[in-house]
Amino acid sequence: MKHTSHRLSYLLAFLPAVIIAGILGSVLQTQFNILAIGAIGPAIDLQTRLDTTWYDLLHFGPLFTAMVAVAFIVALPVAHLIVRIQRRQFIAWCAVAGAVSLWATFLIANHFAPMPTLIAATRTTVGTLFMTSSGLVGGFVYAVLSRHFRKRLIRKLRAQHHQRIQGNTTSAKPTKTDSERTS
Amino acid sequence: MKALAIISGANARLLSVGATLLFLACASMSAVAQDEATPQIEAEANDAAEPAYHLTTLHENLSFPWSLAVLPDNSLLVTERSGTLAHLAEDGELLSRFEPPIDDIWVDGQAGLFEVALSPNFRNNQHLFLSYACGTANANNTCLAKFTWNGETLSDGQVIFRALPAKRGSAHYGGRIAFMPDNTLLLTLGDGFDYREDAQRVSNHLGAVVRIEQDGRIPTDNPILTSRESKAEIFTYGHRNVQGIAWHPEQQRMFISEHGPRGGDEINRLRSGANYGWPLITAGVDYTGALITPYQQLPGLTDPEFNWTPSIAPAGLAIYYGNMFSEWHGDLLVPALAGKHVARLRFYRNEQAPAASPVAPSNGRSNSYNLQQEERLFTELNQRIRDIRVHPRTGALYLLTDSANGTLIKVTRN
Repeated sequence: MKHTSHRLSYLLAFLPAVIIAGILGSVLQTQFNILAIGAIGPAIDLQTRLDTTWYDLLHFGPLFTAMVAVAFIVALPVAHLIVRIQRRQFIAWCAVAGAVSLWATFLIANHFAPMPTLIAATRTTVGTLFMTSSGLVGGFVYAVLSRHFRKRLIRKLRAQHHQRIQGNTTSAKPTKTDSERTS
Repeated sequence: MKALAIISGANARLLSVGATLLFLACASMSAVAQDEATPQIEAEANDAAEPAYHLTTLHENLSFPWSLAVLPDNSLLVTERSGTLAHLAEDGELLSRFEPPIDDIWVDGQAGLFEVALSPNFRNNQHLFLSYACGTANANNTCLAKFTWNGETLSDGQVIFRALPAKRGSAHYGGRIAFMPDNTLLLTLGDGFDYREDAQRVSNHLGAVVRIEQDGRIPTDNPILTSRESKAEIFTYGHRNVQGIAWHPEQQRMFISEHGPRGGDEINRLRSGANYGWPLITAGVDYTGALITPYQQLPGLTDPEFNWTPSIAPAGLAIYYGNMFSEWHGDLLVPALAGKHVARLRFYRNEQAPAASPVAPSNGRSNSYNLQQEERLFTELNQRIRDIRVHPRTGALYLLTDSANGTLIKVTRN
């Protein structure tokens, strides 16, 4: 019973965390590009900024989200491993794992990609810092969300367990064997 | 898969992550060089509407051949990006292969030995020019050197131009050379890829086409650009990576071909001091799918005469006035890397525009002519084509294919 609620809650938390990190990273990347264009050209008005951000979300977001997913699949189990030993600071370790894995992803992608830098926002240190912060946020979301799901799942399983016990002590009522599929 | 089973679970995960990232990185690029060798065969065109031509492979095993010059005795000089020059006889037989006496050539990625160009006065002074990437991994750019050719080797090397600043990365050097009727030299450059915003700044050479005298001096009639710190060699700027330049004798204009990002390859008509807009305006997007700029046009920035989206990766430019294919007089021939063909473009008079408009259009484009693509040539080769040259006397065409096992192909009329 304990392990299923754990695994399920982590799995459920993974996708929202990746998507949130992907969206955040895409939005940040657009702002950095707009900053660079605004430095050499006309000032960018709000509508253009919104249009550009939306376009990038649709066309760059999927690629970046896939990169985040790959990074998190590697990094989050490592965070779990460390927390199993250290037994504290689960949220912090997930956040750090998210950030570091994204930073490593940029390095690896730039090394293997034919162009010098794949994502333009990571040309500068500040840009890379902001882009990895989306990994930080993603890791944080994963930790918080998985905790939340775990508590809800445990509460639900506990409620089902109590119902089963009450059903046993009242001999008149038949035992509800179908509803107590616990493992 | 057996190999992965032997490796432990965590390492296998890392390996597959690396492979996935590699796939993602490669999947997002389109026009950057990857070599592939295909067997070379002689081919004949069967197009009844266009002139029938005959392809002959003159030489194989050229290491990423980049440029070709036809000497007065009809022998050929071919540069290989890996840093050597091949001197070939008229029939393609190798006479010699040697390294030019260059101290600091940088070979990596897109960097290496680029263009060989004979001085317009070659018959008298035996001067020729080589463009190349110079420096190291963290400090490099495009250089131009002048040499004397004695029939067998190069001597009296003299670096007459070095693009600034020295930068990191091995991409986007430009590198093509052309001469104006007043014998000034135009050298095309690139934005160094990571420094694309610098193409708009005239305080550096990135993303510019420079114009100098053949000894490196600044011509007195170069454009005066607005910034006090502007580099005096700059002729035009706002380019991404210019790998084609040719003079059109009838229009009395210099034309260039340049690489766009994902989409946005251009033919541009050069005007002294003009800004061609990169990266503020482009029809392309970044290789990742993201926008480079919200704009496709801006007042004061010159629009292209022709645009390719999706990209074909134009790596050269020839304007044909040879004797052999007289139907093609005045046409632009553009060799394409990713497109694996040579595009032929033709000028059509724009009937709607007045013959001589007193006011130049705000987008800088020619309003008398429209360029249209007529056909894609040599697709049967299925090769990335790096350069196309016209023999000054016979009018035959010479193609160079971009590959570790590159070939020199001669195109003649049937």
